[in-house]
Amino acid sequence: MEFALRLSDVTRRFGSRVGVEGISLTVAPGELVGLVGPDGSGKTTLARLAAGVIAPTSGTVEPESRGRAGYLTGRFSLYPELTVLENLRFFARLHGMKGAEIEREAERLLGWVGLLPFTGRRAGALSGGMRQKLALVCAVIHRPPLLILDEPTTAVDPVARVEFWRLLKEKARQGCAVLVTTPYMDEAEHCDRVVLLHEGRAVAGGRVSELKQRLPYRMAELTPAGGQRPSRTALAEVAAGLPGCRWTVPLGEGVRIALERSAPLDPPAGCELREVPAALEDVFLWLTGAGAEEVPAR
Amino acid sequence: MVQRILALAQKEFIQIRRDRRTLAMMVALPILWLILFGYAFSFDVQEVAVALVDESGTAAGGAVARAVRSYERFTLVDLAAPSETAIREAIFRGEVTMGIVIPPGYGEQPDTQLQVLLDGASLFAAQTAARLLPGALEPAQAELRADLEARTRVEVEARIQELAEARRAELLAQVPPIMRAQVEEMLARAHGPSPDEVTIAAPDPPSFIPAITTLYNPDLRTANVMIPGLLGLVVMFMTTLMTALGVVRERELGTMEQLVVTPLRPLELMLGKILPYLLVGAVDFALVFAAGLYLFDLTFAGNLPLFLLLSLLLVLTTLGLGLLISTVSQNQQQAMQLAMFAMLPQILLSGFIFPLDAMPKAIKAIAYLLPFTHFVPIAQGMFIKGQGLDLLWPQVTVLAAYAVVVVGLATARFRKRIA
Repeated sequence: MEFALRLSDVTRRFGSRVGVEGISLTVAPGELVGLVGPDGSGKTTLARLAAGVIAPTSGTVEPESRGRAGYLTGRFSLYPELTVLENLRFFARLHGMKGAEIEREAERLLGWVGLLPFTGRRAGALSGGMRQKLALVCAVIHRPPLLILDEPTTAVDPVARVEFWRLLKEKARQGCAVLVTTPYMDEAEHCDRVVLLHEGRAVAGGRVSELKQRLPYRMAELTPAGGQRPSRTALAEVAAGLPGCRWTVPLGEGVRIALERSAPLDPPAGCELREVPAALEDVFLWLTGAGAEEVPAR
Repeated sequence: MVQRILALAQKEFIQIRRDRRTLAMMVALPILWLILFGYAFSFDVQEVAVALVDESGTAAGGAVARAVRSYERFTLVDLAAPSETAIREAIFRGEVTMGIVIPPGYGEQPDTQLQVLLDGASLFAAQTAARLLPGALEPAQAELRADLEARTRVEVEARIQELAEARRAELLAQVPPIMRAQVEEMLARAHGPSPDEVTIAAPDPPSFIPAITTLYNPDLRTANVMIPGLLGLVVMFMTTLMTALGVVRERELGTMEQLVVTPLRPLELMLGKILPYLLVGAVDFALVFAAGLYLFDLTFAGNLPLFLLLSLLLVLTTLGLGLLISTVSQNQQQAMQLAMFAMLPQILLSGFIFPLDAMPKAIKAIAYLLPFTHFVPIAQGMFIKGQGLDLLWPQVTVLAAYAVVVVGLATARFRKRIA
């Protein structure tokens, strides 16, 4: 199989601490793959390994992508004193591009992400979303076959985030292999394929729809009905008492519950109970031990 | 490779240009230090506050008093009731650095001496006062000698006159009275030596005031000695601190991680980082050098290309030091502290400010371990005296060794840290 990135049984330790362990992963050209997991699950370590920033303790990373991959981190990692265009020119020159080529590509890419009106603005004066777009452009100016992004949407507002994912999908459609990490399960829906990470290990991988189908439970939401406003704990206790309840997660006004498939959907007194579609979060909770983990709230 | 280094260097320059604080530091610091070391850190005091008590009542005492009063670098302070006690009181209050008491009968009675009181708490002023005093008293000595000459002359003349009168009277007494008028006429015609024709050389007392000739820095100006060392200090400060900060800033910004995934190699990154600060150091060097020549009227006595070459040895060491600091610092604050920690002993112990010979042995041993200690004699020797490699080779050897070791170490650490 053709691949733009292949990690084979990769382990990386930091002293005695394990960053990631025994991970194998392939990204094909044109594929958009998400690495999903909570903070500390090893996403960033894996992204850095894939980008060639750090070397694995054991296992192999192919190709040795140093200099070939475009790489972008969630923290703002451009030069705030430099303008949009100067940042872009700088990275282009590091990749060996020359004057006319740089100007042509810069115009095309800045036009693509909508930053053309801001070429003279200092990068430090850009909004979070614009910064990430600029970082993206800087990472792909040399047309890398592989693009690795580590939590690219962390400090970006929702509108800009949707826009950013659209750009990533476009990039993938152009044939670029894209590997994205995110702590946000709902963002993983944008990906062709996801790998769920938990404590440095890959707990599952596949299309999001497939993963959801694997969940052996039905999901339901318990909310207070009428004018009643029971306390969170009280509501959680009610939920936990329902027949066939596997785990509960507080969610806004109500509680999200995983129920055995065979369990009835009878609402307890003063409450409303309705079935909801399974989300990737639910799959993750199931795979990592039923609600014991904190899932980043949105 | 060259393109990548230049891209990095150019980027660095844009950053320097846009960061007002850094820019200000680069220009303001050398100027501030020039003022500090060139003017304020002058250890010779221009004017000394002096109190004078003349109890002599003699001509000699009067001459000394006049000389002290008219000496331009002494500022006379009036005492309410002139006495030694009053002088001690004035020194205690800090109004006076030096007190001079001319004792009764000075210059006429035996065992009378000028009494001089100095304020040891005002170290440099007191040292200056003591150094100036012999020069201040020179006119008094000249005056007293002239006075002595004049007095001796009058005495000798009187004596000759007296002797001549006596001889004439004696001669006339021996001559019979009848011949006296004739003899008197003869004596008047062939009169003996006239007192006016006798030149009297009064014995010249041996002068105890030596003729001091100061070579190389005739006015003993502090600036002349400070500015050569300051050249090195400014360059050391800029290169060490700026390089360390420049590299650590990339790490802090997260851009280092971006650079690592580009084709930029560690050595290129290092060179691209060093180059701009080398240039900044060179500009500061030129600034201080020009100020030394035009503001402080120094002349560079040595071989300038050689001096630039030797300064480069220091710069290589300090750039390497900056890189080393960057490899062990997580953020700019740490880098700043470490750079200060590395530079402060060099500034204080290098012999640039305090003489090495005044340091205890253990401290001196530490001082000789610091690269800057070996640059100061090179800078001063070449700048002031025009010394060459024939004399400075030991310092040059040590400095070169430092350059090689530090740059080698920095390169190795830097590659490892980045890779």
